[in-house]
Amino acid sequence: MAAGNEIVLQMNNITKIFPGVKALDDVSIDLHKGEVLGILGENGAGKSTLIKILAGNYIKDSGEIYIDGKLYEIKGPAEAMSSGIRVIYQELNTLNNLTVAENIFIGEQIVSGPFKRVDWKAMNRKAQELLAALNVNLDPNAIIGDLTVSEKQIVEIAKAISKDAKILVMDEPTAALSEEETQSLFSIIRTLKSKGVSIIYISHRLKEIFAITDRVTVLRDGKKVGSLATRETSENRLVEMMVGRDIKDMYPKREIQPGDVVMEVKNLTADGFIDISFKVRKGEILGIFGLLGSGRTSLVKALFGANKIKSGHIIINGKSLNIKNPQVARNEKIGLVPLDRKAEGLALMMGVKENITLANISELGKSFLIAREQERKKAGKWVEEIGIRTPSVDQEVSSLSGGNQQKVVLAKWLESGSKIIILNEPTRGIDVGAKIEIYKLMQDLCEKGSSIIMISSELPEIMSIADRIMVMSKGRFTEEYLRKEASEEKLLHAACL
Amino acid sequence: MDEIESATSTAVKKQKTRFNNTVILFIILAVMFALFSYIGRPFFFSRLNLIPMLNNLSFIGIVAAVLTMVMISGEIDFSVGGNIGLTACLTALLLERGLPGWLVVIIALCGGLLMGAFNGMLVTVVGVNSIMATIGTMFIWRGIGYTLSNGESILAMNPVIDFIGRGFIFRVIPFPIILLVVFFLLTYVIMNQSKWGRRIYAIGANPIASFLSGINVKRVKFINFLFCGFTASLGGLILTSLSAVGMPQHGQGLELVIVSSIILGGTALGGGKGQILGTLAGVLILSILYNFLTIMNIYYFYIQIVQGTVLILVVSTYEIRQAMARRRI
Amino acid sequence: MEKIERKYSAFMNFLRTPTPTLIGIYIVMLVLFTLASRNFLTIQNLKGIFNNFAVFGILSAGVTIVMIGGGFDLAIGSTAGLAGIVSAVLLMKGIEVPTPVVFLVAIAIGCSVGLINGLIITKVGINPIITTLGTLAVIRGVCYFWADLNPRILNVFIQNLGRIYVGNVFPITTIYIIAAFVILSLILKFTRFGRDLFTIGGNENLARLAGIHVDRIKIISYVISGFFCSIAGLILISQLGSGRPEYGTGAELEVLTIVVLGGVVVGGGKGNYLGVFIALVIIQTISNGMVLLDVPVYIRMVVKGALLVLVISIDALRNRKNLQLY
Repeated sequence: MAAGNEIVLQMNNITKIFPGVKALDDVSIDLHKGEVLGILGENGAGKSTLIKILAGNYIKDSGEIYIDGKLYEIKGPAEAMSSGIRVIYQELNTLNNLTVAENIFIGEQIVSGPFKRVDWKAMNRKAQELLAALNVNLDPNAIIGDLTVSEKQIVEIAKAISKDAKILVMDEPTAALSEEETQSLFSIIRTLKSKGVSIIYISHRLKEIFAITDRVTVLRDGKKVGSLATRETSENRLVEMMVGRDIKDMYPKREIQPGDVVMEVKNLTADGFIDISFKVRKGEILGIFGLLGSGRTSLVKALFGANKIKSGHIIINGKSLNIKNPQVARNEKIGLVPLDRKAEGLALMMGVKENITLANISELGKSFLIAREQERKKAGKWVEEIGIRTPSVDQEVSSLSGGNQQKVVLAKWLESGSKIIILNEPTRGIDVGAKIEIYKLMQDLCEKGSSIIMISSELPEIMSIADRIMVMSKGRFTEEYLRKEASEEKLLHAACL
Repeated sequence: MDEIESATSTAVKKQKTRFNNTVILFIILAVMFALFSYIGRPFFFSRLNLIPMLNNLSFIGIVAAVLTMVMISGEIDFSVGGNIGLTACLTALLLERGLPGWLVVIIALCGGLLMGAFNGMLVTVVGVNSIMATIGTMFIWRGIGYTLSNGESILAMNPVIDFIGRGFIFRVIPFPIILLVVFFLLTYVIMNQSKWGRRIYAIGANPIASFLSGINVKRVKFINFLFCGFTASLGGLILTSLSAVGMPQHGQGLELVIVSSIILGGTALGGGKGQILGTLAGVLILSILYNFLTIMNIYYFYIQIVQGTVLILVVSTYEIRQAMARRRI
Repeated sequence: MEKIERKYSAFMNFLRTPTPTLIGIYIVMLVLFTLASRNFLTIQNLKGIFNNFAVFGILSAGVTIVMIGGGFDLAIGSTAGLAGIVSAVLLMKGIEVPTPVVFLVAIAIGCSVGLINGLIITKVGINPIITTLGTLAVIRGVCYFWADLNPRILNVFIQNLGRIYVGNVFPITTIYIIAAFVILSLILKFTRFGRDLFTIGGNENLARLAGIHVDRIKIISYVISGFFCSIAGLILISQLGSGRPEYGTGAELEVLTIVVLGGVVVGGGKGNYLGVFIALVIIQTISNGMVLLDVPVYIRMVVKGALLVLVISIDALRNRKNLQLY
């Protein structure tokens, strides 16, 4: 596991500014040959931005990048690739209709003979070799669409190294993997290390950082907090560096007196999950924790009428209901702040006021005409109450920052009178300041009698905000913990069952 | 973290450009009109030309107004031309059989509703892409038209039907113009002031978010298609009345002109953006252009060349403007 | 052991394509038509079926390439018509351009149209359907430049091009189609161009990132489509014996139906020529069946439109695993 001393990558004083937010502020990192460098940080710390700059998807505002000692101007993804940089993203980019071998050799199919014909035999053979070098057994003729997420990831890795990657970046690679698959991934990483590939491993899972990295760099709020050799540090130290303040201040705690049961779910089964039962009480925050693929999003979509229910019951305030579409859910005062707020929560080309009234258009006046004054007043009220930073209620939502966009989505459900609000990863991609505001909002709502169901994969967050935490794994319910009983190990363990 | 999109523009600026667009179009319209009046004098600017031109433009405009609603919601309806052909033949046939005019009108309009419903079902229930679906139904409607009329033109004379295209209100204003004004007012109010219109814009802007906000996307789209089918039939009635015959060729090639007008008027192909007034300007501009070319005795098929080129030019301008906006980031 | 396994998986992959279903449909149809009309299963009739689908077959060859790459070409009918009428004019008494030159001109026309389509779609960035809708109109209009000429085809070579039967049984046009399909299948399977085409159709962004010259390949696919339009145009004037500006009108309808039925997915990334061939035979058999059963001309038109709608509905239902909620 000894890493070489030569520096293959140096990113110096990188700064990147987006309107409204400084994503990276004078960040410098360096990567040694054959080492695994972990980059650790909360959502919004700047990890993704840094990687996108390295991969050529964003252009840095200032700073220099040196590869093998030479200054590089990475103007686009092509240059990054030719410099030996390969990135494996969370959202896998594979061509589902083609075979494993083809995916590995996209654009560079092996040709032979005078007519330069595609040599399938050679391609399959070479693919087999690459996979064997990773100690993996996959049929090069298999169609990608049939493979599991873990196998697709392996294909992506094989693709990366087929083009002689010098620097391999993995962005949250274990999000969708089981414990076993994660171990396989780690052994592949070790194999790559021994071949001299340098790896940047991005994660916010401390266990993995300690398992596989040689050094770790911590980012927070766009700044580099520090770089340490992994074995010379501890979990607490890293968490402290990541969060930067005492956790107690970060997540305002409060005790609640839960009221009556507002929602009861009995033996619910739909696409993505089986036989889930739980209760939600008035005024409480129920957290749902689980890994990618555990069925959390499928569950909340079913609660909201966006995922057809196969069996089971949903009981709201004592009435058993058939929530067959989001209209019904909305009428029953349920709201959903979706995972991807831009794609699923907002009409980006419309203004703040239009988005706030989006779920309550029928109430915009008594006739079939829109009462414009009423609309402005309603929007204005929420902008103030929730603290949405926008020049006006007419402002196009696409120009707001992530945190404010999220607030608009929340305002939409408040405007339509939701009493049970489901939030799917509410603080993803939001800067720390806005995060705290959203936590506070959530607490305020609960104090006023609403109930919240929150999906989160951030352990510190869910352990501090949720009153109860339900854990899901592979579509099933595994464990439930009260806040004071929960711990990172217990939750992670339950999530991997 | 794609804050890159956040920089683009403020809402106020965008609203101004949208309005400016329509104003520019009307200016172009005025210039064109003056130009053609001069070059085509004295015939162009005479009652003999203007009245038929306005009548023709009316039925195109009516269909375009409602089709704009469909396009803003993110769909399209290429079958309007076929609908017109079918309605024309159906009308003429029924009149031949001796059915009273008012009954024929009702039947024709119901036929339009049925066609709209079929399109609506294909798109919302079966889930076919509306471009392909309506190209398919375009052929079906036209084919049925040919079948009903056996390929021939059938005389369509009847007091009620005659009035639709050739009647006058208050002795001076042609009935089709009244219909045109009514429809544009109606669609303007619907799109710009009503809740229904707001839903349509929302669906065009982001159908998923609209769905997840409790809007019944399928129902809105279906009703839009119903309205479009109905209106196309009304257009068919007007055309039948204007020409006094029901021909299966009626409305052939209309899709090209109407869609071009709508896009020229500022409606984006993907939906979410567009103005009814813009469509009006687009319809006026293209109708006057093609009328002028016809008067100058240019062969119909050469005019078709212009129509195709106009479509490409119009969409190109839109695409280029989009690309420029993106590059400004 | 390894070899047998690999063969197994290739066969399994084949079974998952729509092709086996198509073969099934065809067999059922054969039976039904044979029962319905005693003229169906005659050599004469079958010869006719296979000769008639010449134009549609050649056109589908080109369109399939475009569609696998994610594109669309609605202008095929007009382009074939243009190539046809220009060739007919050039062969006219009084002009009589030598046959090889006529061939070159026809091919040049088709490829230029394809080039223009490709350029507009890739460089300006307009939706392929809208673009080819526009060029369809423009080119059809251009066909009418020669509307009053009415050239008859007297050139023997051209006459035979679309009409001879090899050994008095097999239409030569079917040989063209089979040859084209085979060559194109080989190109799809064994050239980088072909594989890149599938890649682009599957995920254009990924293709770009992988360094594939997406624009270049798309343009080439449109030029190929244009090339086949030229050939189709020549066959048209050969079979019909003259050059008229309206030839080819409406061909898009049947070709689209055939191609989509044959398993080529609208949007790209999937498709194979075996399926297209069988779909071609099926659609033509239906056309022929309708004639034999004395179905009136215009109803046939309705049936063709209905077939397209049916076929795209099946395609939509097949390719949507979770029925769209919105």
